[in-house]
Amino acid sequence: MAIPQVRSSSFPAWDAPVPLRGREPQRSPTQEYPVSHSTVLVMFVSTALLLSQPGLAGRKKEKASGAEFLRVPESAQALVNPYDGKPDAIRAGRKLFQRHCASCHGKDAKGRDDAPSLRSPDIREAAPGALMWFMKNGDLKNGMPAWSKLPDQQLWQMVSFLKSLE
Amino acid sequence: MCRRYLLAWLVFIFPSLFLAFWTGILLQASEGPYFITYDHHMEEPGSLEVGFAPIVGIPRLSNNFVGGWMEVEYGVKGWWTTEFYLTGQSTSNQGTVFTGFRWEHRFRPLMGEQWINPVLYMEFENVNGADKSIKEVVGHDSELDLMDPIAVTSLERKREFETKLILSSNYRGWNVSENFIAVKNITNEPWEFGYALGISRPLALAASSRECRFCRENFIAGLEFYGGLGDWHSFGLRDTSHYLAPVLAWQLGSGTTLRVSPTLGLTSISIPFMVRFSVSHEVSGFGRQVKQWFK
Repeated sequence: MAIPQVRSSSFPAWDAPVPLRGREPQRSPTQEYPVSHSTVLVMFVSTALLLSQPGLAGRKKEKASGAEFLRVPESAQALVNPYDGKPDAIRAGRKLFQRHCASCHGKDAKGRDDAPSLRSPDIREAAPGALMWFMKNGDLKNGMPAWSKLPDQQLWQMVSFLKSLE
Repeated sequence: MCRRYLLAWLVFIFPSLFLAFWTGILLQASEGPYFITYDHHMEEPGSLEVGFAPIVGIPRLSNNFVGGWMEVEYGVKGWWTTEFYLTGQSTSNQGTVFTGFRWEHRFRPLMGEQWINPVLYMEFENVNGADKSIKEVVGHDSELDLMDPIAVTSLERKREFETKLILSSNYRGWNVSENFIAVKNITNEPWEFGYALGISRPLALAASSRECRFCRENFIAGLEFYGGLGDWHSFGLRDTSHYLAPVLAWQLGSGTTLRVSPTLGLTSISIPFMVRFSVSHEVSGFGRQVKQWFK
C-alpha cells in the first residue's frame, strides 16, 4: 500500500474550522478545572522565585574549611580506596579532575573564586572515604555539585589524585 | 522537498554549530544518555549546556518528518536547573515550521544522595499543533496526531503546563530512572498522564589513565521505555502508544556528547519507527564569566 502524500498548497481561510486532531478526549463538564494563562505563569514564576530565596536555598556560600568532612557518616569514612597508591589510578584521576573539576577548582587545583584550593591540609588529612562521599553527595546548597553520575571507581581514582597533591 | 529539508537542518544546525564553536574552548563535563527520561543529575551550578536534538520519524499513515529541538540548559544552583527549548519541524511535501518554545525547571528537594532521589519538574510550553519533537508521550498521543497537514495543525495553539516526578537511583554504575508525567493544557482539556523509564550504564566503570576518545568509559549504553497513560477521564493503557528505545551516548573528552537512539513503536497506534540524534556541549563556568563581563 502506497503511503499517502499530503500536500498543502495554501493555508486555509482565517475563519476555517480547525479539524480536531487524533483522539479527542471525552469531557465531563463537572470534572474540568480551566486555568487561565496568567495563573499558570504566576505560579511558575513565583515558585521559581520562592525557591531561589536564601532561606530555602540554604546557607550563605562559604569557603570549604574542612568542616564539610565532619558530617560525613562514619561508615563512609571507613571505606578503603581500592586504588590507593596505584600510579595508573592517579593518572586517571588527574584526567578526570581536568575534565570535571578544573573549571571551578583550577587546573592546578589551587582554587578559584568560591571554589577552594584542594592542595590543603584538610584534603591531605581527610579520610579517603570522606573525600569520596563528599564528591558523590556534593554540597548543593554551597555550590558543590554531586558527582554521583560518575561511577564509584572514577570517584576513587579522583581521590587517589587528590591525595597525591602536595 | 530537498530544499525544505535543507532549510530545516540549517535553521537548527547553524545556530548549534555557532554556539559549539563559540564555546569550543570552554567545553567540559558531559551529559547522560537519555532523550526522554530524566535522571536526578542536575547541571553543575553556573554551567551552560547547548544542544541540538533532531528526530527523524517514519510514520505509516502520514509523511516522513524531521522534528527536533534546540536547548539551552543552565545550572542556577546545585539543586535547581532550568532549560529553555525552541522546537520546529519539517514534514515531507508540506513545509517547515517553527513550532514554539518550552521552559522547564527541575528542583532537587533532598540535598544528599539517597537510594531513590526525587526531583520535581515543572514546565510551561507554548507550541502549535504541528509540533513533532515528541519530547514526551502522554494521554492518547498517537500516530493519528501527525496526519493533518502543517497548514492546519500550525493554527492550533497548545499552551500546556507539565509536571513530572522524577525518581532516580544509581547502583554499581547503573542508573535507573522513573518519570511520572502529568500535563494540563491550560484551556478546557483534562489532565493527561504518561511515564518514562530508563536504565543505563557506562561500558567501563573505571577510567583509563590516558587521554582517549574511544575508551569504553566514554560510552554509555541504555534503554528507554515510555508512553501514555490516558487522561483524567480514561486513565490506563487502552488506546495509548508506547515506545522502546535503545540509547547510546558517546562522551568526547572535550565535553561534547553525541547520542543516538533508534525508537520502536510498540502498539498499533504508535509511530512505528523513529531515530533520534543529539549533539550537546557544556560550557563550565559560564555564569562566572558573565559576571566578570559586568564587573
